Amino acid sequence: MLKMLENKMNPENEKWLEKQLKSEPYIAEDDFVSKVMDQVDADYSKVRFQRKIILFSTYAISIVIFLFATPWKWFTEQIIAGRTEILNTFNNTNEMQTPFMTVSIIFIITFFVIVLGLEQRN
Amino acid sequence: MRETEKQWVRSAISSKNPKYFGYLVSEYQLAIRGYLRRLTKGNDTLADDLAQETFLNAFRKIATYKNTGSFKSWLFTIAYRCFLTHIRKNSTNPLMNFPTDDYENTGINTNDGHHDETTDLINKIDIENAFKYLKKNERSAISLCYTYGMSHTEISEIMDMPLGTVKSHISRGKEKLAKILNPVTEDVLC
Repeated sequence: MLKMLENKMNPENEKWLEKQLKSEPYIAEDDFVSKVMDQVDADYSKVRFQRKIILFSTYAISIVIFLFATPWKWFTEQIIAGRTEILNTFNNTNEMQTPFMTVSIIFIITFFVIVLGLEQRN
Repeated sequence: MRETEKQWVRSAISSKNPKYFGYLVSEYQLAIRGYLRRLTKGNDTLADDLAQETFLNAFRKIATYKNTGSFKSWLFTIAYRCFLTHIRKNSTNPLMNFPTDDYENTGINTNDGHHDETTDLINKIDIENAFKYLKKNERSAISLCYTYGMSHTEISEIMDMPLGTVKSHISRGKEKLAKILNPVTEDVLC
């Protein structure tokens, strides 16, 4: 079938046709690229915003779970026991009176601030 | 693909930065818009809308692009799929199916032996008009093959068709174009 179709066409005409087909359709210069880039930028911002929302929700849920699920009572008991032990070791020293609970909370908050800050930059 | 283009593609993939993608849009917009104009039978507005959709989809899916094939052929694949999706979405609208017109007695006759700038321009217009009488697969295959220099294998990947079918579309399309553009010679041949 293909052979038959090819044979039907005059080689000279075929050459002429192929030459004509090489030319691209005429497209006038316009602001197509900027239109596309506006759309791309909008899409990019939208995706980034959605990603941020998901990320912040994940962090918020993690913090809530962390706050409610952590056995604070047990931790406090352990810290008090540890502090008593240390205080006993360094008998009569007042420097170890630092509240361990406060230190650990400050540490957790600092950690989350650093992580969220890094994420914000990305 | 030029080294700078490869660099843009790599940067667009790794950083997902729209700036690098912008370079690629500037580079390939004429080809994609031209190809879609042929597919939409010269409907400029629709072709540009589909071209915008093509580039937007390309940006979203750029991470899935594998450096094995050319970026241009990857874009043509997305453009062709956008066009098919548009037809399917508008299947109830008979005009949006781009029906194949009857190509007998089109009145187009260009190959009269004269060669000057005006004749070339007329030929160009006639070629674009003649494309309207081809089926969508023929329009696509012929444009990709002759206008955008894609190999038959690349076309078969772009159109997701066997190689033989692509060759057949090209041959049939060329035959029809020859008939439309050169009815006098055709009479002699028949």
